[in-house]
Amino acid sequence: MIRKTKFWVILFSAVFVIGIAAFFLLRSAGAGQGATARIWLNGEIVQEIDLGSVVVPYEFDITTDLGTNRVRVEHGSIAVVSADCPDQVCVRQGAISGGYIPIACVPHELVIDILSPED
Amino acid sequence: MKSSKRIALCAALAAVALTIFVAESQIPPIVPIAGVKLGLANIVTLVAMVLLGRRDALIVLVVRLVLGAAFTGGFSAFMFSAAGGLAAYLVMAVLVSVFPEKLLWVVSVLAALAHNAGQVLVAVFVTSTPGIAYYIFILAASGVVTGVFTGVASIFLLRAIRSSGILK
Repeated sequence: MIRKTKFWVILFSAVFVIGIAAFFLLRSAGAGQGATARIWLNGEIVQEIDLGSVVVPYEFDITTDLGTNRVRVEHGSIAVVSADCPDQVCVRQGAISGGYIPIACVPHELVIDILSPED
Repeated sequence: MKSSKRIALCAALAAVALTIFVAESQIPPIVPIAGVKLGLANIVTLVAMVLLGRRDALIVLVVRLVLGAAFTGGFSAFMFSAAGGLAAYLVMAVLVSVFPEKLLWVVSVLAALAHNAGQVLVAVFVTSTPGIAYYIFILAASGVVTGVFTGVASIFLLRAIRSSGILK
């Protein structure tokens, strides 16, 4: 069986489809509800923000020995708008408003996730 | 193969791997999701393993990881490429003799999946944030795509090296 091309094509197609589907389900689960953002630095929650109570958008910097990320908070969503890391993945990821997929800036050990109201 | 030739070939492959690795790190990420990248340097690990065997492939990999970290910088970047590269190496080392060369792309996909799993593990470990583990789904999907791509590239590169006559 493991020498059959067909077996692998089917298996890998399934992994691809399930992976994409699971990712987008996890990302959109519970999105848009009045949620709390948690900012993690090296495994510790350093700040919690009730996104539902934010009226005027604001920005602030998170600076550690490893670098700085500028975070923008709006009503119901949170985003990293700039970072002094080379890859800029966390910036390009954009705002999150819910779901289980966190914003990850791994070089700075910074993670921002959203605690859904039902948790 | 004469040992002088073997050493020269190892060095050439390490140089190719390093060039590909540094060049790839200069390309902005195509998909804005942490960890999704092509992993082109795995092509060289796989080709080295088929042509020169497991031991020389490990030498090529370690040279690339250490020099790659020196050129692109950062200890955390090194941890990531080392975890991914070594996980992919282990999978290739076990499977390369199990599969016929026609199915080398399967080895490549499984190696890419191991590469991404290793990187997610390091990310969970470095940030100490379990939520990062949810990335495994999208990285599994991207590993399939990049693994097929690097696998097919490896098959073409092997063909080109063999027909070039430098192995004789």
